[in-house]
Amino acid sequence: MEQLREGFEEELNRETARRIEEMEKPDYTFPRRFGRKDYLLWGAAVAACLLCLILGARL
Amino acid sequence: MRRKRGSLEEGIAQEALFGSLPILANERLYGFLDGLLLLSGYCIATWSYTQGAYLASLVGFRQLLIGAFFGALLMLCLYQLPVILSVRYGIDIWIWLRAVFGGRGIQVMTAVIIVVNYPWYAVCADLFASSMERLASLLGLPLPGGAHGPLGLVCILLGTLLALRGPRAMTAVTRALVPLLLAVGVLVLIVGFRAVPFSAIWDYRPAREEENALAYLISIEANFAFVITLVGGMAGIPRLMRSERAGFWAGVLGQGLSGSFFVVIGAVIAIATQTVTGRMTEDPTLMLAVLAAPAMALCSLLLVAFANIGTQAVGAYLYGVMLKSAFRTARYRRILFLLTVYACGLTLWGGVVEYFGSFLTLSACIYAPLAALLFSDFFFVRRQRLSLRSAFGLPGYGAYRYSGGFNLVGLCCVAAGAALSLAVYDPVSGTVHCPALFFLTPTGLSFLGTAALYRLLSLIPPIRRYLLRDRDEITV
Repeated sequence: MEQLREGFEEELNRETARRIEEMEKPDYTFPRRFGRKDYLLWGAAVAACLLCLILGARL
Repeated sequence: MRRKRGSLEEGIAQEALFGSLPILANERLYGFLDGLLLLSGYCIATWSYTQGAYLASLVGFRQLLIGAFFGALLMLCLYQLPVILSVRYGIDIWIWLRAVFGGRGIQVMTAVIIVVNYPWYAVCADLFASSMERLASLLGLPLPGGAHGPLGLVCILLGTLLALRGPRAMTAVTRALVPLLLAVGVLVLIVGFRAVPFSAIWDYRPAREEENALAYLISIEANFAFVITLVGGMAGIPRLMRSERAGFWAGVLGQGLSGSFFVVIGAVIAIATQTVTGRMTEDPTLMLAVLAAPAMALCSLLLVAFANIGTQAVGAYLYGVMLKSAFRTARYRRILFLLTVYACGLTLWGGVVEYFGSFLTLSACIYAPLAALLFSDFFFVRRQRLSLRSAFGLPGYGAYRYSGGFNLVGLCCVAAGAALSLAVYDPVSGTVHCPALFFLTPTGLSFLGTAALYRLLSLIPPIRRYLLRDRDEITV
């Protein structure tokens, strides 16, 4: 049982290392990143929510 | 040997879906819509009705509308932004949090999260049981007195069985279930507004003793605390998604709009029930039985009851993934078994629903500092770069070993954040200790304070060296 567990852990580590090496390749395409427009939209959403909460206190 | 090797390979192949391996870009399963449906399905449960009825005991309907939607969206926008790391690297946030807490530290933190969070599933199971009892009564088949507990267990067990099948099975269920639930939600809303004059709901104000400003702040705190409980499992679905934008907004909108919509529905029918019967209740089954025609109540109750099973399933999967990120070699099935036993124990105890308000804010004492540390570490301390090999604990890479597996700085900041929250407000007695800081709400203050503390500590050279031993190992 212990041998099986150690074998599983070794396989897991091997597969993890393989996947990280895959990500390190120059031609690996990461998922599309959060860009400048996304951060601007995020900022606008935060500001709008905050404003609405402040206005809600006056009701 | 060959048979053992084969089952080993099969087990490894499953590990990506269950959290122990990074998911590569070409393995992603979901776009924005599937992510939105899954995360909506996670949030839509009859606990939303309990929250809605609780909020209606604090503030008038218009303030409740604003707090439920904008309070939830604000807190989600803030604390869920680091979920983009999960999309980028295909990892759960608990892999990143090894850098914040250390290898042993995340094992302690995930265990704490389970202890304080899993009572939610007891709330779910309790309300499922009530729904089933009410349904049976509507059908003329009253159940024996002791059926409540076992019915709650049925909800947990069915959810667990679905979670065992993994995310693909859950996707198939939520694609059908969530649109139906949203449609039922609209119908229930119509029932509520038609049961009483519109002004009875729109102009509703609770009879209470606290002044309006304090009650409004407590309601905002309740909304913040309600959504921040999702932090532990927030990356389980986004790490399976195809873009950072989709991963972020699916979570914020799925949880902030769908979840809040059902909170508002809960408030509407609680107010309508009070107007009709003179008594407000958080039991949605009683509300619907009073306000709706039996056939309508039957459909609504049936679908909402199944929403609870869907929530159990998605929740069990997400927390299973969380625990597997911290305990990488533990079997997913064994983890689910332990979670199921815990949820069943809480359900049979039955005390969680009674202490709902205190439970919300007490649990937020842990979630807010946790979310703050992730935010501060990702954006300001590590600047979005992580040593993946050390984060996965690969042999020979010990940048996140810190002090015997514990990052003392991160753990102290969690304690400080929790203390800050409790110093301002006692959630058990409902006493405000520091009115001057209470305007930020205990959850908001704890989030901002912990993030600032961690960032400031990281600027002190010896602490900076302690935290950033990983810079030479950064490769992506």
